[in-house]
Amino acid sequence: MTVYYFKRWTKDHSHFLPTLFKRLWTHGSKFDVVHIHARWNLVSIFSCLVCLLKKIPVIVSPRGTLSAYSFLNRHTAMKAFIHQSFGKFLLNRSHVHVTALNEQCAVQEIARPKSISELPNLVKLPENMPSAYQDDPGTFKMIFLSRINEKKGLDLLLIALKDINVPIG
Amino acid sequence: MSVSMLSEELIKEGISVEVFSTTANGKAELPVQTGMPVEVDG
Repeated sequence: MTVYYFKRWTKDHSHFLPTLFKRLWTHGSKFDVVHIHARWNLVSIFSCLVCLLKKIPVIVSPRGTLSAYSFLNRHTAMKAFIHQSFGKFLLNRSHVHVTALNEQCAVQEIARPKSISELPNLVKLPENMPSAYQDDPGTFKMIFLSRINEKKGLDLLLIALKDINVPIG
Repeated sequence: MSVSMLSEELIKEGISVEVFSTTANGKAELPVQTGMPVEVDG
């Protein structure tokens, strides 16, 4: 696939990218749709603004950053200011792609996009899947694949596990 | 990973896809040419 890399001017999370915005402004109209895959940050917001000004349909994949939880954690005042001043305005004129129903509910609490579509992340599995671990079917085994973060709800999972009757199914 | 796979699948379906990305690689920068098209496999 063809990739254009743009050098960031700032190396913090703002990732200020004027050259990307310029190319999007000058070349974006040749696309039927622009899909923004990123945290809902200044890069995403300015890219979304460019698309809407150029009347290019835009899809935003906020990757879990559009939720009441996100707005209550870290840089809360700045996030609230950006969201209320123009973030919500842009989102309400965009289509949103979420990867789970839970994310869809979270987005709907803070914005009313033109549409919300759920499409889970694609995962490549090995051709030869290992057989299930069978040595002790009476023991419930689980792998938690994620960051250890409050947002992931690991504490809730551990509490809920106490109420599960094993073996399941 | 999810972005590249989605892009690959769209291309397989005959859809023309261009990716605009940053050179961000943690605190470092990716050693890539900027501002010009680069063909990336996967």
